[in-house]
Order: sequence, then structure tokens, then C-alpha cells
Amino acid sequence: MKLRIWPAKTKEKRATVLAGLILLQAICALFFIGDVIEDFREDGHLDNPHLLLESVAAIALVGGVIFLMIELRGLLSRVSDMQIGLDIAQGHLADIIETFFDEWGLTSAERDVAIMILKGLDNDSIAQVRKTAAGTVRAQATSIYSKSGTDGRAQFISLLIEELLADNQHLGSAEAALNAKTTNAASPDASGETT
Amino acid sequence: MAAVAQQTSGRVSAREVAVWDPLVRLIHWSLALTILLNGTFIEEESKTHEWIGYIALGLVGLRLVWALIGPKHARFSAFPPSPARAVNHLRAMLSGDKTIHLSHNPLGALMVYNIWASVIAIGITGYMMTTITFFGVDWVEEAHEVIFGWLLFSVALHVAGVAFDTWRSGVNLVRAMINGRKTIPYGREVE
Amino acid sequence: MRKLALIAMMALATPALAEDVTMDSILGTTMEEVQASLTAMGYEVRKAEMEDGKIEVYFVRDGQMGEVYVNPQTGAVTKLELKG
Repeated sequence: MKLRIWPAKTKEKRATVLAGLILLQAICALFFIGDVIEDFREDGHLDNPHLLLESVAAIALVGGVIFLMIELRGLLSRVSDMQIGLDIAQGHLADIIETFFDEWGLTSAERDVAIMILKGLDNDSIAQVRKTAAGTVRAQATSIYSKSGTDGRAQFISLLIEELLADNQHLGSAEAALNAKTTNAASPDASGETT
Repeated sequence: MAAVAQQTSGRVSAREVAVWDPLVRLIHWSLALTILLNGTFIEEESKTHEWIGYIALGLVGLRLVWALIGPKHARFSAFPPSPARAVNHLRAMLSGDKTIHLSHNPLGALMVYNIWASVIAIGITGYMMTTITFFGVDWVEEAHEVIFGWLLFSVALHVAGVAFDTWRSGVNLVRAMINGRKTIPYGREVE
Repeated sequence: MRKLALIAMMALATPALAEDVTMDSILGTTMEEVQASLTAMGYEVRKAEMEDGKIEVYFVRDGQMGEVYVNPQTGAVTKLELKG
């Protein structure tokens, strides 16, 4: 798993830049506020023009920081909505796969194995994860291919991809649900976060 | 619907949740840097020392504002200061509860407030030492040093706590504070 | 000998003159002496301690803060910082 410090997606990059700017502006504001405090301590009053300029600069910078923070919060909420939409779409894809498994009459163990095959795990890895023998997995895989009418791993995988790509109606309804969900305020239950 | 997603697509994979936004992470590591610098390399009686101290204060101030107006996981409401909750969390951990907290867990919350309060106290006593009223006054200087010692101890405890909780929960907390995402192992409840 | 010279110096200095501490000042070879010298010059002594083998004293006068480092062997000022 790659450790990504610089995010790949544009919106996330923007959010990181915004955060950096907020930090920099805050430090600049600190600098001017410090100056104002020091000058105030020496003079005791705030009427000299130099001091006035510094105060204005400090206030402007602080205002800028608050404004950027609100912008950042908005940006992050849009990113989160996009993520929720993605989760929902993935949830629907899972539905579609489930439908096929029902059609083929796969047992629950076979479903697990089928998913792992789709994820690209080889039989030995599957056996490791499920803590069974490789022979058991081979038997389950054979049953899966037979029930789905495929010759083997490659054909099984491409069969599902074809079905998923061809079945636009299913994806269309996923999109409709996506729009419905994102216009309502996103709640934790709508995402894939809870079981 | 979501349950189906878990069953079929989630069986062997964990799920990633975006928790720490860029500002939280930036402030966290910057603050750590200021503490490291002022605690080790930077000479105590220097202008640089003072400035790094004020920056540390500024960073905590910024974080406090963000905790008021920022996104969900960054807010005070996500990790309220509550010794009662911390005790409950401790009990839950001991009884094997594996629920994962997306934001700071109740114990972590106490540590976070402790560190912020310590930094503020150190910053204020530091500032006081530059004023005529408190210049050269013993208790201010001593408080500054003692609280800093407490801060270092707290940081050590914090690092140990993060290591322990990473091990216990299976969530890589350090990586989460770098790229913002917590990878939740399959089947775990989050709160 | 040294102590006598110092006492003589202190006797001569009048509070009204409010002599300033400078890099050429000879203040004393012990913490007590340095503090006494500074007080005689009209400074309010806030704190005295040993730092890096030197006598360090914090003082305040007329809204000005300062730190002075004195070499305990020679009684001479090695570093002087005035702030505010």
C-alpha cells in the first residue's frame, strides 16, 4: 500500500494547498499582531499611522484565514460527497454481482471464492485467506466455472465484466440513486461506513 | 444495500475512511516540529526560541478555531473532553471491545487537550518573561520549564499511546495522520 | 584589595547620578557583589544565577530590562543585553 503524502486527486491537492495557505497567512497575521502588541506596549496608544497600517494588515490577514477556512471546509464537504457517491455506486455494483450469484445458485462459500477470484487472488492466496486447503478452493472454483458456464478463471472474470458493462440499465439506476442521495445531506448510514 | 456491499465486496478488504483533513495534519506536524526545535536545537535565550514559541501558540490557536468551524472529525464535538468517557473507553478496551473511533478516541482526546493546554501555558509564561512585570521573576521561569518538562513527558506518552492503539485496533494511526485516511479492518464497527 | 576598591567606588557613586552599566563596568567577583553594585547604580535586581561559569543577573530600571554576565575571576562584564 503506497504512502501518499501528495494526493492524486485534484480536489484533494487543492485542499492541501488551501491548508498550507491558511497556515502561512496565520503566521503572517501572528507577525503583525505581535508588532502591534509590542508597539502598543511602548506607546500606550494606537494613533500613529505605522501602527494603524499594521493593525489593518493584521485584521485583513486574520479575516483571510477565517475565510479560507470556510472555503476549505466547503471543499472538503464536496470531496466527501463525491466519495459517498462512489461508495453508493460500488454498493450497486455489488448488488448486480449478487444477482448473478443468485442466478447461478452459488453457495455462500462459493460466493466468497468467486469474489476473491474477481479481485485477482490466485487459488493459493484464497486458500490462505479462507484458511482451507488449496484443493478445497480448486474444487470450489471448478464448481463456480461450471455453474456460470465458463471454461476457467479468465473467462469467468471477463464474463462478469461484459455483463456489468453491457447492463447499462443497472448502472443508470445507480446514478439516479447517487443523485438522490447526494442532494440530501449525507448521513453516515448512507455511505459504506456502517454494516 | 450497504450490508450487501460489505458481504460481497468487503469480505477480504478493509475500507478506507477520510478522517484527518489537510489542515489538521499540517498543524499536527508543524506543532511537533516547533516542540522538537525549541526543546532541543534552538538556544533557549534567543529571539528564534521566542518566535518558534509564538508560532506554536499560533498553531494551537488555529487548531482551536478549526475545531469550532471545521469539518466533522476535526471539531470539538467529535472528541469532547470527558474523563468519564475515557474511563468507559478504558473498560471497553480491557473487555475486548474492538470498536474503532474515527476521530480521537476518548483517551486520545484527553491527551490532545492536555498537549494544547500545556503549549498555551508554556507560551503564556514565555511571553510573561518578556514583560517588565515578570522579567526575571523566578516562578514564571520555573513554571515555563516545569510545564515544558511535563509536555515532553506527555509527548512520550502520546507516542506510546499511538503505537499501542495502532497495534490494538489494527488501524495505522501514524499513516492516517500523514495521508488523512484510516484503513478500517473488515468487520469493525466505527464510531 | 579588590573588595576595598569596590567599596570605595560604591561610596563615591551617588544614587542621583544613576550610573549606567556598560561593557567596561567592573561589578564584582561574587553574586552578592554584583547585585550590590547594580543596586547602587540604581538598578532593581530581579534574579541572579550562575550560567556557563559566569554570574548572570537580571535587572530592571526605568522601564528597561537587561541581563548582564560577569566573569567571577575578573569581576568584569563579559556580555550585556538591554531590552525594551
